[in-house]
Amino acid sequence: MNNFLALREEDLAAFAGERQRVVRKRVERELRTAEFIASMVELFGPVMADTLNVLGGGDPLLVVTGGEDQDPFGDEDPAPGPRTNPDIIR
Amino acid sequence: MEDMDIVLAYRRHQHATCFRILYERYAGKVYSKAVTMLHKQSEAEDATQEIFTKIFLSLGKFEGQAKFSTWVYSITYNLCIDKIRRGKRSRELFAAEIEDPPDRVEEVTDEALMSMQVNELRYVLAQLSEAERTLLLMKYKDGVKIKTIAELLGKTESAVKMQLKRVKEKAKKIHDQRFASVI
Repeated sequence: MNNFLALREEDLAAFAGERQRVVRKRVERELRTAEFIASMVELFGPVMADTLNVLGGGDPLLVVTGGEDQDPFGDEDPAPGPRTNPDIIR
Repeated sequence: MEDMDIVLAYRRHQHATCFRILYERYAGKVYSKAVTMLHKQSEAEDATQEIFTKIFLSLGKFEGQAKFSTWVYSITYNLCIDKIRRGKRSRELFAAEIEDPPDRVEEVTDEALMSMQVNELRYVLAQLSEAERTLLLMKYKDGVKIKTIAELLGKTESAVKMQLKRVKEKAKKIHDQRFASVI
């Protein structure tokens, strides 16, 4: 019999259980941290880069479109107002 | 369920269950190899943590050309060797004996080593240098091939074989000195 394998079994037995669980928890925590950082970079990275670009004198790369200032009925005729009625003679 | 199926599922959903299945499958093996190379339980635990973090963060790079287990073991050995290098223990591990002209070494059979009792084996391993112990454990405990050991240690296969031969002889000598009279 290979007693080196018995040594290996002893190593595995020593690690199994609580110690293996503790290491797993540490790995899970590290992965969650990495995921959080990646999400932050994904979310704010482009905006931060654009801000730095503008601060450095460049043109903004991100253009905000579809803001609330735009008139959703812009292609229709504007509603008639007091100054647009030609029948009123002042 | 095959490793690759779990890897693909983890890539799609990052589900904790996939992580746990892979971890449970490989944690013991990774730890055992880390203990072989680093010798200290606390260092081996830290290495196991780093190895699994690295594995799961770079799972997207695994394309399935090699077996998942092979990929895991290569990460394990590379990280352990990096740790040894950082600990400035590489000098002993990587440089020893190659320059020495090979003297006459009596061939010791594998059976002579493997048939030692576990407590005897522990005693013998404790008497060997770190490099010698690592070599012996990589070969006989973890079953790493000579070619792979040579690649990992940056030596030629013949140099590894010669060094292994010497270590076996030394181990046998230590064993006989301590236990031969008892038998």
